[in-house]
Amino acid sequence: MSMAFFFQQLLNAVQLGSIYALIALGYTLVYGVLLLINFAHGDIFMAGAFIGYFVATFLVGHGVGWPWGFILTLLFSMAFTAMLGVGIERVAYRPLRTAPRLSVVVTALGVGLLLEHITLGALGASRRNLPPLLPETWKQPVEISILGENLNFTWLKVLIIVISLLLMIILQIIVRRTKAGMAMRAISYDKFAVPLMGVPVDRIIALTFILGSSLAAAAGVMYAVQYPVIEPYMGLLVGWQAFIAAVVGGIGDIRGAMVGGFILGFVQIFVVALGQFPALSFLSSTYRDLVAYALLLIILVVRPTGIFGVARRQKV
Amino acid sequence: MAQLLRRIKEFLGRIPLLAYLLGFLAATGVEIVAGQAFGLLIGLGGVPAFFGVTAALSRLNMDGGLGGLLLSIPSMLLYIVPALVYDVVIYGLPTLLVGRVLAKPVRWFTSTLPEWLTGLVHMVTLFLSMWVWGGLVGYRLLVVMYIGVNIIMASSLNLINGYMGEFSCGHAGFMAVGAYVSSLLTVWLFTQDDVFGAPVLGAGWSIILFPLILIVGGIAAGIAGLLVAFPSFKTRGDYLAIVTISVNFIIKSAIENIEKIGGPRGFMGMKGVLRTMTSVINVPWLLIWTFIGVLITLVVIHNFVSSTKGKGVVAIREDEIAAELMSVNTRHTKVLAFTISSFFAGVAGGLFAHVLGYINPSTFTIFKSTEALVMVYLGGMGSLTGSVLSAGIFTVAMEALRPLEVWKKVLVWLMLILLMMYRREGIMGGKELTDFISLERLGLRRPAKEVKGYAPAAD
Amino acid sequence: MPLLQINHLTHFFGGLRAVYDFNLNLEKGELIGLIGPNGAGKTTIFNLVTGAYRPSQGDIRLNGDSLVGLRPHQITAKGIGRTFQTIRLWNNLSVLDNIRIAQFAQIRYGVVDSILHTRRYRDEEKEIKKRSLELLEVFELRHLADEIVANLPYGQQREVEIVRALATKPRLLLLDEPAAGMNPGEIDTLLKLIQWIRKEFDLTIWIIEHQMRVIMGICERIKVIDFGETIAEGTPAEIQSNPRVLKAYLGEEGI
Ligand SMILES: Nc1ncnc2c1ncn2[C@@H]1O[C@H](COP(=O)(O)OP(=O)(O)OP(=O)(O)O)[C@@H](O)[C@H]1O
Ligand SMILES: [Mg+2]
Repeated sequence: MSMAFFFQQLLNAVQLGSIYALIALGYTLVYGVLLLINFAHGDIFMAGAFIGYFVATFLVGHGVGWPWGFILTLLFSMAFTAMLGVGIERVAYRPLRTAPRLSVVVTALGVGLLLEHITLGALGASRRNLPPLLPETWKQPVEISILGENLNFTWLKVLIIVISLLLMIILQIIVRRTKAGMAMRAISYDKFAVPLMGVPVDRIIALTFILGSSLAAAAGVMYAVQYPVIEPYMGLLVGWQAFIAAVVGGIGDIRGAMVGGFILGFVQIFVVALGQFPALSFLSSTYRDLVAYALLLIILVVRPTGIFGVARRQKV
Repeated sequence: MAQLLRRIKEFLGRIPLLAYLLGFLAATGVEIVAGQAFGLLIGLGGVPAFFGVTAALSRLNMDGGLGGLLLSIPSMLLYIVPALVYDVVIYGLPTLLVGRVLAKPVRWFTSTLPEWLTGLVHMVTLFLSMWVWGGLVGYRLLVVMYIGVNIIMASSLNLINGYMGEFSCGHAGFMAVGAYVSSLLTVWLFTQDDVFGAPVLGAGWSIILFPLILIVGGIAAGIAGLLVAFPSFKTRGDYLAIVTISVNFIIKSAIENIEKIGGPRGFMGMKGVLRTMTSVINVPWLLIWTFIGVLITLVVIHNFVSSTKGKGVVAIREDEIAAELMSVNTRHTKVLAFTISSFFAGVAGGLFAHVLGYINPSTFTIFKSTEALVMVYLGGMGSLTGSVLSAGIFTVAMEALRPLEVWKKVLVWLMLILLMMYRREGIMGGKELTDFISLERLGLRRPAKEVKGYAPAAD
Repeated sequence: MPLLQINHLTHFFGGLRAVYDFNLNLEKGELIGLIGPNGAGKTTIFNLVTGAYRPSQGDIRLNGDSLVGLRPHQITAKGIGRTFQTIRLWNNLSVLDNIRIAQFAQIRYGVVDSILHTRRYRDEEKEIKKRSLELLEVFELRHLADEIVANLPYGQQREVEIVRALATKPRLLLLDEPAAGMNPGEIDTLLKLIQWIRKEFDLTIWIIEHQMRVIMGICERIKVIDFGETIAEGTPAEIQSNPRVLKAYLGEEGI
């Protein structure tokens, strides 16, 4: 494998991985606070992409171009999706807070499928393209030469990676430096003591959904810019991959979600990339998902808590 | 009003099950003779396929936006009235009338015959009424078979999610294994096919081997079930849910990657198998095997969970650690439960594939698994009769609501959420139908010998 | 040979040393007590003996056979029954079912037998049911056989748990704070019951208890642990006058 090829795939992997990581963070934040696997989160990502689509269409229609068109699309989509996330928690999860955990998991599954089919019913199954928010040149491959080898990349990929990293840093600051963020971590550390200490649990949970959903929305918009298709099933296709990333990293752990996202990005990109070599041609791109799920299964069997997760021991 | 309701309940309660079945059989007879004419007369345009529900809903205008939808509601309501009249006149009245008339003789009959024979008579009558009712409109027969497939799916999933209290959400994966294995076998053995060439065995073999091949499909699915059973030793709860979901995805994805059997395009030729079978003896083979498959599933699961060995499954639900410490071999029990459950999912898959005549990997996604979940939770965890009821209701509703297109699914998931919020225990609340109406009352078991000196109230 | 032989049993939970170098020789027919302050490691010892945890070090032998590494149900089948500090019955099942399931290890029929209701299945199930009802009869609980366990009052649940432990056909019975939550009258009944089942079922019994009157009343020999370590051992009288015990344990209750 030539170095150039490797670096190129590395860039692809980091870019895909950062989108996975952003979504995975949503799964992990909610799990940390509520011990709930929010199966609806993939569809929140989908909703974020659709909201971005409508905002972008509106803005572009009114002549707002680069860079404001892109920035505003990102921000509005994050805001609206955050509202959606909080709304779902209010309506569907809060009434079940004292219910058996599995009923909440079933509800989450139901909410996800509901979102998916409402979108399908209201907007149809056809794929949509995001109107152009970026200058075309950003999507054009640029060639640079490192160590005598030619390397292709697009500025768009770089932009996605930069924005993702920026968002993750902001998240870290919120979680580590603000009072609310610390309360959030405290809840995920000890579910029972914190409410006793006067922390407004409802508000913290709302904050969790705001953070998770807006990150998913950002991922949705960037995904839509990069691969320019938006469809109701993208929550199922992409969201589940991100979920795998969260579990691989150790669901409930913020670092885990990021690392898991990048691991999955690498694995998938390189499975496809290796398939380009004649000797490995059986690794067609359709193996991508198979490999991802096999990875998940192996992790769950060998180390169910993922890379960073800590086992919760059962007392006898 | 309450008085009236009580009277109605009393009246209905006095009719044994067999009399109802015979009544319904009579009603289908009435429909064959008079359904078409009556339907035309009251403006339904013929025999409605599903009690008029589908036809009524198809009056809704789904493509004209909200305005169009609202405007079309009166036309739907207008259709409902004659549909109700039809249902009462063609089904309701004959069933009740014949049921009432036959109540006494049937009671006498069931109290003299040995129980197994009574059971058999019930089964045959049920089968006949399904066949006759379904035969009138070909599409109905299809739905009846779907109901059967869904009963097998729901009750086998109930073993895991209801009795064992685990959360499996990958049942469709095992269904896929059964569907593919059995379809490949039947198509290879009994039909001329692009992939496999000429039939391997003579047509006569098809009717003998068909049920065995369904079992082989089930066994393959049962083996796939080990993919979930082994991880379940270490993980449980939502983590195990993830395992089941990923197994579902892996199975689907694996099938998609096998080009030989059609990959993502799917596999067909099962209609040919059916033609081969009917060319030997012309009976509704699939209906027969679905019916028998349902019976076997219910008997096996019921007998298993009511044995001391099978109750280990319930002990795991109640307290797994205590179960293990109180001598229950929990690993063994889990393997058994998962294998039995996925075995029947595989059998359901085999039946499903042959009913549909065509399968493709995207039929067996997490959507299908979640549908099975909906049926289990609707009927109630740990209730087999609940699963039977809910599979029936769910399947018919899905067919009847077809005109709603995608919105039908929206209703399904909404119902799942509402169930979780307001009635977690489902229709039956963890009880069996027989906890409400005794087998004696239904006429399925002979009443206990009367004690001397005790005069039963006059009927 | 002692019935139960524990050598150098040690157990860590992560960095926490819950049990350290615990030794015991339990002769057949003995009735001994294990006491110690809260968190001393008593329940952990029971959990180690019954296989719920695997010991970090040490050896546990029943009739000379090592139990280390066996799964809990295998250990139970070898003849160790137990109750739990907080009742762990199968709550939504009937009393009878709770007792039936505890005889899981005695089942010889296979799944196929249970599905086809073969003669073998029917015979064994009949036997299991008969034995369950007999056990309940002995404890005057038979009339509650079809009652759902969760609906029983606390005291009866405790009794059902003991019956369930007996249903596993133990030679050694471990009782973890059987008198917890009982009033003095109930405790007296319990003590009689324990002595009676010991004779009736030919049992060796090992009790963890906080209530002194239980321990001092019936135990022939007592072991005292604190922070996982054995600090005293002897007859009730010896223990009562042992200064270390007084300091660690009785002192806590305020002499
Ligand atoms: N599963 C576990 N994981 C981690 N620590 C545990 C676990 N079980 C017990 N411990 C700890 O081990 C120590 C001994 O606990 P154990 O339950 O054996 O005490 P005990 O003597 O039974 O106390 P009590 O009288 O309160 O029942 C305690 O510090 C407890 O917190
Ligand atoms: Mg204890």
